[in-house]
Amino acid sequence: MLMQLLAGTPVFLPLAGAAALVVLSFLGIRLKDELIEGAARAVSTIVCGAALGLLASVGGGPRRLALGHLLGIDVTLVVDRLSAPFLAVAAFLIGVVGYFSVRYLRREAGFQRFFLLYGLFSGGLSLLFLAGNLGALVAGWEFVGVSSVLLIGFYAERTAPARNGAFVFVAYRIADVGLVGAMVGMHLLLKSMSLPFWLGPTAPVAPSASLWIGAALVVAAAGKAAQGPFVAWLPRAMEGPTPSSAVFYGALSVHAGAYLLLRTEPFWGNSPVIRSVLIVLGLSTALYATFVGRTRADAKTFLALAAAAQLGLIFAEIGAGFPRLALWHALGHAMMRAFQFLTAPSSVMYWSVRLRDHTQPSPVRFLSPRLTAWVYRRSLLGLGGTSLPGVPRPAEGNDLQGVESR
Amino acid sequence: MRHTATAAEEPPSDPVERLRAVVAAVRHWLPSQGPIAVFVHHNTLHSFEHMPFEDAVEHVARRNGAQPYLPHEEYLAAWRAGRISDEAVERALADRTAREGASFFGVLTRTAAERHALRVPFVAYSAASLTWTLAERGPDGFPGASGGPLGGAAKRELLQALVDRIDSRLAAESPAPSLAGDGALATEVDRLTAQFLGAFLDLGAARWELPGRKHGLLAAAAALGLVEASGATGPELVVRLFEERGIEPPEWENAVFALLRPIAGWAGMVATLEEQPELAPAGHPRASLVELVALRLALGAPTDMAAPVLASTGTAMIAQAFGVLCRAGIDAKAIVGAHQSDVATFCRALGAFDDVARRRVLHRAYEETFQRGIVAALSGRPAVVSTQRPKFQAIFCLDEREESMRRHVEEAEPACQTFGAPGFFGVAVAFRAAGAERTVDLCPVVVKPQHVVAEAGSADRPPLARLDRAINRATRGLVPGHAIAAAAGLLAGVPLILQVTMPRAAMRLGAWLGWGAMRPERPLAIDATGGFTVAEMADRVGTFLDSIGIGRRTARLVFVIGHGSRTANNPFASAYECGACGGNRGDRNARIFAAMANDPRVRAELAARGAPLPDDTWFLGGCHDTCSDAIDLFDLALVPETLRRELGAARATLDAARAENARERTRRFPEARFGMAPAAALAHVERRSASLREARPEFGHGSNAALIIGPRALTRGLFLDRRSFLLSYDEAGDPFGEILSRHLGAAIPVCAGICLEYYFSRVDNRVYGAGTKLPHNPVAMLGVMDGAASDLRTGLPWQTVEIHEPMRPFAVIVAPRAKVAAAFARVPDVLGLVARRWVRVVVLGGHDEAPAWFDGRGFVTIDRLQAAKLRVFSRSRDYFDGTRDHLGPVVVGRESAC
Repeated sequence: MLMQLLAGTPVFLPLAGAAALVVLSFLGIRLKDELIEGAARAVSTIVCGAALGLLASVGGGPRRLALGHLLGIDVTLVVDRLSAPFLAVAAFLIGVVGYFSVRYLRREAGFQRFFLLYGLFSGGLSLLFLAGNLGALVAGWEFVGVSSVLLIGFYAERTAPARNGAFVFVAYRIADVGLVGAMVGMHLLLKSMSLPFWLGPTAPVAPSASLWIGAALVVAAAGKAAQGPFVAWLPRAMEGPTPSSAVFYGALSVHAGAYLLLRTEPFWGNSPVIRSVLIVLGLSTALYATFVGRTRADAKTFLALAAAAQLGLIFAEIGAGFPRLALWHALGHAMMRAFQFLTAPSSVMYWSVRLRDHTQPSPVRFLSPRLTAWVYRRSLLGLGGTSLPGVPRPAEGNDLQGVESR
Repeated sequence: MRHTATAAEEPPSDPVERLRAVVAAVRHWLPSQGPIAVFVHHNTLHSFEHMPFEDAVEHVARRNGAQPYLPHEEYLAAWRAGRISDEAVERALADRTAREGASFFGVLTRTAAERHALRVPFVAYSAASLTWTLAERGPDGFPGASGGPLGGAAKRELLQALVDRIDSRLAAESPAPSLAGDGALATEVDRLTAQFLGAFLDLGAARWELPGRKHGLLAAAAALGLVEASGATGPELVVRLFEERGIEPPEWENAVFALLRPIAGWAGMVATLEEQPELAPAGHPRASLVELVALRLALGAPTDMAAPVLASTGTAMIAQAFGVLCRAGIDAKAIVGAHQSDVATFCRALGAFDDVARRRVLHRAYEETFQRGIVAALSGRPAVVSTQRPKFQAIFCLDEREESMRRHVEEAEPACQTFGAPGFFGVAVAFRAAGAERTVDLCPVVVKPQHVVAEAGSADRPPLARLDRAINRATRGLVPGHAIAAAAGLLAGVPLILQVTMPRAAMRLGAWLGWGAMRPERPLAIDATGGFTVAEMADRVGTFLDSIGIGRRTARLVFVIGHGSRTANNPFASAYECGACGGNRGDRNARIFAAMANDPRVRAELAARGAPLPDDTWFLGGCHDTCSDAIDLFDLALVPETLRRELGAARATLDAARAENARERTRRFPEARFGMAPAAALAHVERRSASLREARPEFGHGSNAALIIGPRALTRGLFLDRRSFLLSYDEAGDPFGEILSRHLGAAIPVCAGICLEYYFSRVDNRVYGAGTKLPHNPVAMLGVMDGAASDLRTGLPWQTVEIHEPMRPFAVIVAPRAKVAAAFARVPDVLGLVARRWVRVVVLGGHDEAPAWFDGRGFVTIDRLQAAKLRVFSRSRDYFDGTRDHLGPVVVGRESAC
């Protein structure tokens, strides 16, 4: 019972908080900042405590915890060496960022709205990590997606956040198609949506089923983790307040893609095609994001692209069959990057004493001026993001065709 | 530097020359803020100072889609709160130029109509919204209409009568149309330009340098394939492209404006770096505004802007007339019975007293209410002069944030004296920090330093700080980033949680480890080659002490305390530093001045000139951190043994004062509770200074509103709520007003620059300011963007100007009128600012002269001014505790002993 409580708390307590704020906002009630601050701090402290408790418990082996039935659906959470560390890092970062935000966003008009979305994100991410079957994972995934998009569009009175929020929304929807596809594939081909313990014994999966399910999962994971063509959404997500950019897209949300692949490895792992795709996709994204990132002069895009590059390596590691390395890499990277995003506003002062040693002529220039020019052009044109499949260009954007074709 | 342009000149016939003139004219519409690491406050509308204030703000606002004054509702709220007095409104109304038309409908005088109209904010009603408002909210739902002598039914009749009689197609005066202006980039071309300029102008933020940027803007763009390489110079290309697009020379100016306006922040940075290349390191690529125009044209940016749409029609006029007539108690019968031309005249008069005109009147009243309050407080003050030698003297910057600091020093030690002076203390130097390649000008931007002072030693950061940066840089690379993330990434959680939750402890730990070590005291080469000769040092010291009225009446211990502000996660850090030191910390100037004044050769030289300093006087440089309220003192080891005891006592006084000062500051922060103990308040402000999560580490110059040039005797014991710059000046020691001239020439431009920057960033934070800080993203070491791509956001962020009451700079000068007039005559630029009403001036003359406005031409005695009977509190804290609002002047403290 204690374990059930520990596992249920990180999911349902923040969601309950968010639900309460939804109701209050619907009734037009605006809580005092101090009250929201106190509640956010209490919730995130409890969630951190629960996450630590779960982390301590995995020494005793993985557990599958049935929380009971919710409207006839079996709610099962999995606590193992994959979900517990992910949850612990997420709870820590969400807690720190919550503490950061109660002051940073003070007296901002959207204070209550921010913490509504914060609760939604927090509970959703916990559910995503702890889900014992793909259906529950999808539910958490959607909470995370919706709250992310709304946080990007936080300053909806300006045009750019609304536009970029819509862009990310579309990218997420494409990823969702993959996830729903995987769910359907599992249902039809495997007759089960249960998610196994990490690196535990699993029933063999036919190669054809691996290919189908794996392909769908790769689309989902790549969308969430800003890999391949999806890399364009990550810089656009930097429209919200600094703490939300930092923790949600820069550090946590993107790693959900890697988590998904790690958790579902038994289903796609025996397809060499999927493994190769992951390696190629990851490495090419890593190179592309690194190159483009080096052209960027703004702190947040630079960090966002550095994050996409590391996620590319994590994808490649997962594809190549180094899940333990990928886990450490992902967790360390999330922590490190969150810190850097939170301190991004101070980058001018941080680096300014000796400017000259920072910028160097690009080494690629000596290899190929044309490659350099191409990298810069991609960078300046929004990473080619306007050509994301199915996403219309902004009407005014057509005037750049001359530049793109040159 | 830029010069103000006048339009009436004959356009040059050579197209390239003509283009240059056009670009120079449009340049005035662009911001002129430099790289953000050195934030120099300046009048946002500096280029329009040749126009009278009201004309300039309204003219620029109209074309930029900005606000010239606060929103009408804010003035009404200030009026209700007593921050605008009824008398001030009456005076401001009476000041409007004489107008025809004695009365309307036989009962309503024009002045009465305008008085009512001041309470009726303009709303751009369409016919549909008019009907909706009446149906949903009733007649009281219209602005200004609720209350008044008319009943509900009478109001409905009146509204119907107005609807019948006023032609709804009538075009009325309207507020300026709204352009985007918030830095959002509307088109892909704008985004491309902004990101290209970020890479091109980068001062060192990107890892790679934009290839080919050394060859210029157009060449770099061509190298990337953004435009075709043509080999033409910028102006030639623009002229050619204008011809190709069929844009005739008379349309050029509008076209250039339309090309640059969507990226005004970036274009302004191009222009500023073009005009002042010294703002960027040597070897930084040069770009010109003309080239940017060429790039925009080549990329296909539009050359026309959406025509301003009249936001208002007769339907808005109906609502306006309705509000005024409701307030005046004029019912439908008067309207129905009136001649059609009477109604039209009334509407015309209301239209002439439009939204902007009403806010202009209210703004004048808003300023005057505050300004008369200050003058009334000052004119009742007894000037106490003591002959006793003070225990110590402390010279602070004239910065309004030091007003409270000085007050608390005097409260803690009544037998001391404080002075206010421009915080570079008369030593304008080009300072070369240890190991630096370039010098930094530590003086007001209007001064060009003639001397170089270098710091000995190398610039190396402490080893741990170097390691920190090396790791940080490595994490951004692909392979090293991988290694660090996988091996040690989780360890980042330690500094993260420490810095976020325990900022003070983290800072102390860092200092202990030698991480963010304080700037060590390195030897200064003041009299080396390029530095000061002994005679020059004696000049600086003597002149400075005379200028603030100390003369040679020095105490044994004289503190010279500059100021700066240390904040942790703040791209605008430099904006909080000393304006008189060009947006830098004032610590080095203070240290240099003290070293000069203590130099035995300087003392000998002063004695030889017949104006010796007392032998037992010692000067001690220091720096006050306006964010953490720390006071650092420099070169303590050099203080003579005989002064140790006095020094100990004085330091105790300074410590007590800074804690009280912290307490006074915390009253403004909603996160701080009232009635904190001094030590808790100090801890609170230290936390703000060290904390990553603080969007408002301090309010900077927020709420500054006045500059008082006069002896401290007049302001001592007066609570001025950290809103007044205080410049010490004693007219008795300045028979010909020459010192006053220097003060006016130095202090007014600096203070006016600060005050007006705050004014514009506050009245329209969207267009003139930088918007909210929270989504800011530092770019290219030049400034901030919103998110990943936006225009460069110039001006001040909302969090800094939030508590500011936007007012023009207001100077109170304590000197006889004749001396003030003579002093102004020697600084024509500053006189011009006063004459064109960018700066308001009041002169408190001698015994036989009443306080008077000085309008740049003559003196106008302030009518019906009564010396205020101020409340008396024994300590500042008895007055300020318990409220976060602005506080009016009161008397605090025991009677001073000095």
